Amino acid sequence: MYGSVLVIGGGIAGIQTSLDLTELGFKVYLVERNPSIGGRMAQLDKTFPTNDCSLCILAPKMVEVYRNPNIELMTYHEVKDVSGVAGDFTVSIIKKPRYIDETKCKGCGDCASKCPKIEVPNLFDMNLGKRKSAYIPFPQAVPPVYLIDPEICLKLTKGVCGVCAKVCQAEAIDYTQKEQEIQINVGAIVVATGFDMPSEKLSSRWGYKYDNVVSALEYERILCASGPFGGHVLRPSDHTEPEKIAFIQCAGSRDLHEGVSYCSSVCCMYTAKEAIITSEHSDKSKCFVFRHDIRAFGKNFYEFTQRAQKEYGVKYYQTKISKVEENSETKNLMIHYENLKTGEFENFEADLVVLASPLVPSSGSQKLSEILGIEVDEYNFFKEYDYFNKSKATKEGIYLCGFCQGPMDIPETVADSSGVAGQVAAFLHSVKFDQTEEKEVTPELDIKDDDVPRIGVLICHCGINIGKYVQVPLLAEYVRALPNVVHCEDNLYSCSSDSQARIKELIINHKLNRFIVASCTPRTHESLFQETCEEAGLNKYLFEMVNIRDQCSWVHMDDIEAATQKAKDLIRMAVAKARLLKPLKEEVLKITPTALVVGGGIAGMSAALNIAEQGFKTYIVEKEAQLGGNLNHLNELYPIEESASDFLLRTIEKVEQNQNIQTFLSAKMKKVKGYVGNYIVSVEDSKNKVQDLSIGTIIVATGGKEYKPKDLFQYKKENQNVITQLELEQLLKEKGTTWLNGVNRITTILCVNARQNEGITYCSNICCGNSIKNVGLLKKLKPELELIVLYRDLQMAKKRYEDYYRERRKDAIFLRYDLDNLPIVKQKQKSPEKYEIKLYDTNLQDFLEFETDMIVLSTPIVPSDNLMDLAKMLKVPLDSHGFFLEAHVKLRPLDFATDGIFLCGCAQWPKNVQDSISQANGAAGRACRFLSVKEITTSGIVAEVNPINCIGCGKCQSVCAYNAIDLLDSVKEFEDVSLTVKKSFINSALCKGCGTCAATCPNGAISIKKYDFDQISAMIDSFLLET
Amino acid sequence: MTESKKDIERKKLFNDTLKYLDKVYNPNLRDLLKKCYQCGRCSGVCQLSKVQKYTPSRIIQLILEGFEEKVLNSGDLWDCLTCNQCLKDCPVNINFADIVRTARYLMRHKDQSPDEYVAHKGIYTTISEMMSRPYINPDRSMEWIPKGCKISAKGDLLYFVGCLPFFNFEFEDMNNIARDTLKIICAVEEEPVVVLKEEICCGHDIYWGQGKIKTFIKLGKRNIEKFEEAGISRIVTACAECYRTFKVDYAQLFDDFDSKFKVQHLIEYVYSKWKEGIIKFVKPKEFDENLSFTYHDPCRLSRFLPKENNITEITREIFKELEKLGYKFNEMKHNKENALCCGVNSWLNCNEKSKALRYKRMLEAKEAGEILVTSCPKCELHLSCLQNDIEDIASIEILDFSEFLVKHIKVNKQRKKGVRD
Repeated sequence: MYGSVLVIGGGIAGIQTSLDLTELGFKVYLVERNPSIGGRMAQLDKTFPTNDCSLCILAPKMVEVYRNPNIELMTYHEVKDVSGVAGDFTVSIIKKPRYIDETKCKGCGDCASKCPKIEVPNLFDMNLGKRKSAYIPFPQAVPPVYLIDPEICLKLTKGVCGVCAKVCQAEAIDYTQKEQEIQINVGAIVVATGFDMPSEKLSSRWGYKYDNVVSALEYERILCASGPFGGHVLRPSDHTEPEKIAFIQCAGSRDLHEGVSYCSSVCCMYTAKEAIITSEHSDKSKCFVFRHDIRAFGKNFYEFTQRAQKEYGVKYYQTKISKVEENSETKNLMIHYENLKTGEFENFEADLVVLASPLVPSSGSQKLSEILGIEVDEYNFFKEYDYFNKSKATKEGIYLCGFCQGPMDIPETVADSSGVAGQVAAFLHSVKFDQTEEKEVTPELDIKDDDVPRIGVLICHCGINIGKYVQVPLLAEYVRALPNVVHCEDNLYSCSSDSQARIKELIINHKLNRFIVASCTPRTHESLFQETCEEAGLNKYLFEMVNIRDQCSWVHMDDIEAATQKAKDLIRMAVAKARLLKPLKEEVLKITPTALVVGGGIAGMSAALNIAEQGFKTYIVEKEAQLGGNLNHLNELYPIEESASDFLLRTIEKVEQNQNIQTFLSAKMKKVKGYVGNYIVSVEDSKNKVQDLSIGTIIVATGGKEYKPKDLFQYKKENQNVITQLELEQLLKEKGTTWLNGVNRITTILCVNARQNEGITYCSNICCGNSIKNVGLLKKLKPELELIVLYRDLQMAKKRYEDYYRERRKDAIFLRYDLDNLPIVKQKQKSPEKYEIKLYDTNLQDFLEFETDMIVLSTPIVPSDNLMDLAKMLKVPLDSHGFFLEAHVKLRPLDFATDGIFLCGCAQWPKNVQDSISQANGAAGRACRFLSVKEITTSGIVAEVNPINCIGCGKCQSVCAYNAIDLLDSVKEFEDVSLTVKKSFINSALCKGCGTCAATCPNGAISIKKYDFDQISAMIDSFLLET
Repeated sequence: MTESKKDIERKKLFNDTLKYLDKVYNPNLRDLLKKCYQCGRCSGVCQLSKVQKYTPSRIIQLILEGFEEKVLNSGDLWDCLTCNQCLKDCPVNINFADIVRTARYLMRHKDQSPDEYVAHKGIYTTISEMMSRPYINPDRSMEWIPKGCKISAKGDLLYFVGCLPFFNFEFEDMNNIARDTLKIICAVEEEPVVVLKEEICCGHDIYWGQGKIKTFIKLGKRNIEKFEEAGISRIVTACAECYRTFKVDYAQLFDDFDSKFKVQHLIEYVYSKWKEGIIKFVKPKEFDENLSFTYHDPCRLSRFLPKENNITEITREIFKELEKLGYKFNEMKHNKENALCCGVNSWLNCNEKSKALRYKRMLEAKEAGEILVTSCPKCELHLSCLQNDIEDIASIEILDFSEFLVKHIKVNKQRKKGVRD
């Protein structure tokens, strides 16, 4: 068995899986066929629902991959062949020629800037922008290595030119490169190949061939500041600003004609996002959305689409369009559609049309499935092993993650990625850390506070990237003259490996005790230089970095004098700070290798099983007398037809048989003390006995519950035949069919007390599917039964759901209503119960009245009871609806901001069994990153309290996002009295060094190491007072 | 009392017809519509909706909600053109024309009749219906058969003429189509071509327009008897409706129809012979350089055929070849699967709305060329009829594919012999 994993695909799915896997103790080979990792997420402008800049939140992860010693990054590579079995795969990988030696290329871009102006469409910009033959797909590409397009390179096609080889000072150009084949051995394979948006395949009705009709992905590039139009929303035909922009949803999805029967799942949300961002970009542009159902499948998503309408004035038309045509003179587009609200046919003239085209498995999926020997499903997505194991492929040892398995958004992809990492770790747990590298530690030089600073400075030309716009030799001369600077030199590429050797040499030869590099951004390069310093025995906090590329050469390209002057100022300030740098100590925390899972429902049990399978002791605390949570009340699971009890019993059996799991039933948590790796949790068991457990990490899986309506739609104690969906489940499960005697018509009302303007404003996502399942079951039990479903939008957004729903339409009559005209239910007769329902049917645009014997109300899922107590005990936040609030909705869906505590299942948001399991695996994967390492090292950059100045006001505690601050009693003895005062204490294990507390403290009692007041003042003084 | 022999036979026939009925008739309309998710696209693309209020999606929802009676009683479904544009665009493949066909049967059984909507006082549908009777055999005129065309009552290849000759009663010489088609076929074939003196109707209009599915079944059975009697294995027709009826509806109804008879439209016939090298396209004696022509795709040869049928494409391939002779072929704005309707289905609803539809089509044709070629005699008839009413479209020459092609076809005798040798 090999302790290494092949990850195919370098999008967000592959990136997250790779990062988690290395932390769990595995070596990763990350293969990406494109020249850069980042995938589709790197192409997006913003991400919903927070409207974060997509690349800004992704790029740090990309850099983390790049810097990770246990990830072998293989971009521009493709998997050719796989043999062997789970645990022992042999993989051949083709390395495509870049014609630029990636070990030498420094990413300075000199080759591209001198490359002759033959330009072709840039695929990264969805072909809207241009690139040359020597190129990098986008400025933040990882690895930051250029490549040459052999199709248009003059040297490679005609044997002339060769300019890039002449200008490349790193001598990285190599026209003789050939394709290479590499063999590796891995224990497991993760497929994360993502999706394509092939709009050119759409039928002509959508008008994609017209200049001003773009796909949503193209529109993301148009919106993006680094995109082809510099972030200005312009029409491709004439580069004017469009006034009316029409967004067309379901442009091919849910459409058998287009060969895409499923719902692409994310379009409703990104459309709302694109419309909002467009409105923010320009006052001139008005956005119009042509939609069918609104399927906002995720946390707070529905409200986001509402915000687009209410706050940004985006106009939504509920319709499906018949066609888009172009006015050949104005290049405007005519959209022919029926306004379903009025029944009138209308033409809408738009300046620009954005199509929410179908998202399909990325090209080459079929071929890859053959190479890997795994199956694809009816939609060409990779097929899951079984419904509840959606991350396992049909062959052992191969896992699936992200969109290649089915439509999903980024948070679900990230959660799945962590889940896949967790499952791989469970499978390969016997070989953890077999193939990972440990850093050798060089003994640290002893630097005393009163040692005279001896500062070394290295200034980088970055080829001509800096050197052309900043007078580097002049700069070096200036720096050499600064006090305490013992040595300063400039070089071509400070990041090259010979430069690292040079830095070590300088530190040792000149007995340097501070080091500064003035080059590019610390975001990508600081850790490299810090490591170099450490290898020379210099504490890494004695290193300082100055960014003279972004801050000087890039932004002052046209003014060499000013750029050079600014570089002088910046380096002088860094020198001033460096004089005051102190060596910092990093704390080593021991981790107790145990986990505690709060809640024994399907999410809690799945998380516990995964952690236990990775070899860690796990405790489950469940408040009820049995495991299973809501599953105990469910009848049949969909879209597979499996009895919930059978599935639950099998899972409970696994939990009970696992030696690593200990379960406390009818139990509750009394107290939690400590921090990541070192919790003491007091648990009261069923006999009221309290035990203290030593716990390393905690997973919150407290589930949710069905909302019980109060006096809504005749739901009252005395009305037996008005029930909730969960009550129907129980009837179906326990009561056989006798209760159906005399019942001839059952009406289901969806969205009861959900998606409202006030109160419960959210969509809880799973009620539609569940109701449709029960409609099918009822019809099977009693075929002559008449079933009516009153709905608003049907949330059948997941893979297979659309088909599942389509098949069940025959079982019921579906009537649509809207929030403006809620159905009115009256009791007509008490015994036997009969009700009269009156509603405005928006499909018929008419009022309807009918009688029914029974009413089933689909109500939303709400958070479990008493979560506030738990939240306080764990010091984690709840959101406005009372669900737990994760660290970041997009990229950290399973983490709390506080290290060491994770969440999954309905505690985070209403979700179905499949997603709960998938998230549970993810939370387990995240948690085990801590458990797998015996100890963790915290950063030296933490906050520090000066107790003399601390007045114990507690303001710092209230602003700390990481719960790193405690207010503790401290007894002060005076001559006559002793006084108990509060003092702030910082737990450096939890502190992230963000500085919020230091900024908040009214008494200046808190400072951040390496950014303390003296150091910052010294920099300001240096800037203002020195020259 | 025992049943008489005749009674037993009648009962047997009745049961037999019911057996066939099951194959093409599902009275549960909701079953056929259940997948509709009310996107409303059908109402948007409906060709009829451009000239009158007509919303298939609303009709579907009414049926789904249990108001089938209301829909049937309203008689609205007699209006549908059965042009199949909605099926072509429906995201879940709901076959509305099939619903209409079924509903018309149900409406018939509710004592509704389309009589008041049928043009020409219902002569043509009555003629078809009469032919379904076992004892009625037409004695068709053979006067139109051109000199030099060898025909026979038995043989391998049947030219199925269809109802064209009957139209002569009211319209200008429709025999041209039959004459030119037969000319083409006879020029190619060595053996005499079968033309039946007692040929009966394929039943298309009865099936789609009249809601008389059982009559249609009877016609089908009679036709097969006649085909078998003549010993044929190949059928060529120049009529889009006959073609679709044989190719799809008979094949669905009668299990072995497909394997017994190879059905080709004249277009396919010409195309295959051209590809085999037997036919080539030549300039006629009188030739007008740079003449532009366009083509009207009949719905039965485009939207009404299974996706794998490529007749719209091969038609264009032939036209491309004709361009080499000096013609200019222009597409109309709406073409192939998106072609506009000729305005009438199965003789129903000839009124000013239908005329408006036809006018739209003719305006597109006028834009595209001097000659309008089509391959459905009914389309030709409906479109040319309007030329009598409206002057600005009168100049367009409307020709059937056979009429247009006949003067351009040269049969390569040597090659033909070579093949035979």
